[in-house]
Amino acid sequence: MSGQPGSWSASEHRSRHRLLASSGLAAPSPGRPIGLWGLAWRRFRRHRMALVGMVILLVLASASLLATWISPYSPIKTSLVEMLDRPSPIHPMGTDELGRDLLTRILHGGRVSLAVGFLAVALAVSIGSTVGAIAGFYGGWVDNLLMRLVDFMIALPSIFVLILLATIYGTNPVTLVLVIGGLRWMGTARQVRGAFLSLREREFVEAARCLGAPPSRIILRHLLPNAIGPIIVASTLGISGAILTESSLSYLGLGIQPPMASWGNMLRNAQDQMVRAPWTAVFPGLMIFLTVMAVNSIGDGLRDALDPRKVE
Amino acid sequence: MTRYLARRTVQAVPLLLLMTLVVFVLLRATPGGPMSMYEADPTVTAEDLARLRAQMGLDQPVTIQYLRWLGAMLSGDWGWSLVTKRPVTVMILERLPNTLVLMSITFVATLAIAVPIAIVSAVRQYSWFDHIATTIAFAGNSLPTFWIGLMLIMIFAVGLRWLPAGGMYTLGEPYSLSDRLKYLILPVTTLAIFDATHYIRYLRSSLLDVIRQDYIRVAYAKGLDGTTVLRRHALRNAAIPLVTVIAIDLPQLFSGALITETIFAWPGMGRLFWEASGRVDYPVLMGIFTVASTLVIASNLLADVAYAWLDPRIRYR
Repeated sequence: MSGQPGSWSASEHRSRHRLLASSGLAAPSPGRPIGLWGLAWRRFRRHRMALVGMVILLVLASASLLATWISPYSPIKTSLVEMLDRPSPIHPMGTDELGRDLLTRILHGGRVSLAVGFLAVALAVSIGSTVGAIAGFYGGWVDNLLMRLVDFMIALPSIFVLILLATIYGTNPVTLVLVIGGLRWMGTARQVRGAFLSLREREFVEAARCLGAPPSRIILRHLLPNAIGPIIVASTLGISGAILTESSLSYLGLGIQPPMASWGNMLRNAQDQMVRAPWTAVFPGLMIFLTVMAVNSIGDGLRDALDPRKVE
Repeated sequence: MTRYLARRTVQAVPLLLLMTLVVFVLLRATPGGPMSMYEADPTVTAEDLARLRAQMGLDQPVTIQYLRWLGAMLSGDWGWSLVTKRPVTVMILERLPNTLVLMSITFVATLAIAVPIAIVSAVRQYSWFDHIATTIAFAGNSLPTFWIGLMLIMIFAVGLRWLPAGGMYTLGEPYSLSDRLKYLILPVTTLAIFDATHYIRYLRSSLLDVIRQDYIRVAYAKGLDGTTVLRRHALRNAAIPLVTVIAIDLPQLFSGALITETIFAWPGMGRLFWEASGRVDYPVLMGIFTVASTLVIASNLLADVAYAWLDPRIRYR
């Protein structure tokens, strides 16, 4: 291996190892070296559904971010003369019961849904990785205690707790992120713990320990990079779950409150007039479906791309 | 086995206590609650308020309140609803069977859909059937439950007028099974679509793992026919991960049921919880939560028993 013994990181170690194992090359190619991420990207590119998903998600996210500039309409201002208009060139997705342009509201709602989904998962992954890392690295009673906590959280019928927390802590996007993220970290914790338990017995960790590396360095530089693949896959798939949870809560009237638009609360409103104006119920749901499917296919693509056991 | 079960049951008790304690404390932090009605009333003096609070035991520390609730609950007194003034046990017992009917029929329907599809899909991997099944399963996994429900209502109840949009039976008509079934179709389909897609994905991939094992080849080499190999060797082993998934999913099943009950006006426990949470009806919320947690813990235990039945290598001590 290259460099001083103290400087080669675990990820380098594994990417080299994986390159040999999976690319079918007898020796590292003499040209430009491909790292872990290069190799993963190379595999990811071949996953057609994942690429389609990525394009859909990028288009949706950028359209939502630029909603204010793309759409000439306001997401909140009502117009009594345009109530429940059918989809037309002026209103491509029609208007809702207060005469607001549905497409505009969907784009603005997308901001909320995507942001809540991503941030909730970011929170969940941070909590989960920290808990899992501590449990897996230290083992013993620490591990025992933390895993009992995880068991407890998993056994909790989370929908009831979600409803209670939403009633107590109000219903703005920030608390939604905290509540959803706070109830979805257990899977990551278990996964990271499992990876750490087997990784910490490996020679490179022993080497690092012999060199006097403190626990924080071993965890952050040697263990975590080696466990990052499954974490990324799980968190990607977690985003779709978080988006579904947010929209369900908003649909129940406990999430994002009107007049702020979210896909869930738009569907709640649509319920009352979906007979006369089916488009108000069809489009927000289609957006949730498209987004969740895009995220799921990216997750599937990443799973294949980052799976170390996969041999081509 | 009996000893194992006994030990697990004993272990479940502190877990259940901890769950109810957490929710009890959460509930006490909820704005609204039993006193808000009196606090808003200007004719009620501060002394009256204090007296009322003492009467309801709300002046005690939370731990004492919890212990009192626990003691009462264990002796069968689950309290009275603050809104309807009816006993909580009666209210729950009215609703619980409806939820259990919905959930168990959904569960059977889900397996009836998912298992055959997953088997054909795995046995004929990369066939056109497999491609269609995996695509549909993938798409269905991304559908929000409540939207499936809304679309089904829009198409089959409002558009085609084939099925009722909500409720559990036709009012004013004598009991008949066909009437009941008519009201079950849409909610069960809503839930089953989501769950089935989930199970198909799991069972298919675990079957694919199993089919490539040596003991399957041995079974074929012995001269067993495909059906026997599948039934006796492949399926039994492939079912083990599915049992885990089902057990882990169970709390999720409640969330699906709650949302579905709300959409279809199904008079179940989930809907009752949702109504009670809007009115901060402490005793009802605590009662439902206790029942739901007990069900979840019991079914996790059941899953562990199922493992042993499916995989004799697993021994319980």
